[in-house]
Amino acid sequence: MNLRKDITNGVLVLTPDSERIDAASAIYLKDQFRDATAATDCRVVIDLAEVNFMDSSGLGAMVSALKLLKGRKLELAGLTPVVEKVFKLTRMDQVFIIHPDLNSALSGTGADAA
Amino acid sequence: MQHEGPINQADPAFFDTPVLQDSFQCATGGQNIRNLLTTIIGQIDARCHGADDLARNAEIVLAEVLNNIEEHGYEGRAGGQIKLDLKVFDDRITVQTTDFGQPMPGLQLPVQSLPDANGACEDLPEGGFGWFLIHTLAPEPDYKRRGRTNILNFTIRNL
Repeated sequence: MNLRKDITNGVLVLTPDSERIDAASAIYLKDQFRDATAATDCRVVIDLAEVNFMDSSGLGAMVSALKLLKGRKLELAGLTPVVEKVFKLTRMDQVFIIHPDLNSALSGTGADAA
Repeated sequence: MQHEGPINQADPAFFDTPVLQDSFQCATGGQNIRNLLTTIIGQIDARCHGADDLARNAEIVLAEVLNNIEEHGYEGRAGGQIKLDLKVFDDRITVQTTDFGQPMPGLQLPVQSLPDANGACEDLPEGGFGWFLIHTLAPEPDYKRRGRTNILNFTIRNL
């Protein structure tokens, strides 16, 4: 799994190129996230619109990524139904800022959780 | 089910036959579990039009159960055999998994408590979500150790 890295409107947008963030791919996410965010202090949004499945390993990797930001917020956009369900059931939806889609994330200030 | 008086032929239980019944075998390693999961969910989706929540719950629960068998039962080794028997009904999916890996610690399933999400960011849990998801979407799973075999039975609900 690779994280594509774009900067749009001063926001770092990271897009996983895998449809599944599961036990097989989650181990790569933390390292790639660390590399991608190391030299920046702008807002960070992970666009999950193409990710149609995430398991508990993937969720754990998201929490690891959040911790790497050391107190800054991690924003997630475009949660598909299974991914949204995993976040809600585990109440991790309260830990991240969640936007309906990337456009909303880029037009917002980052302070308003969806 | 106990009936009082004549059997009512309109009783839903009378027609309670699975819309899909199948058995699957898989060996741990590589992308095998991911592929098995994709196959099973594809079959459920094809038979359960409209029951999206049931198929989603099944994908979440089966991923956690199968990964647990691979990572803990077989300690990450390749070639561990897993058998999965599946019955899909309109409102639920019953599953039995059989494997020959290590027994559950204490011959019991791990508890279902949700890792604590409150408190400081650096204290957030990075694991422990898997069994919580299983217990939530497939309440009261039943685990048995028979000889060198682990048998897990559970019913995925349409929550």
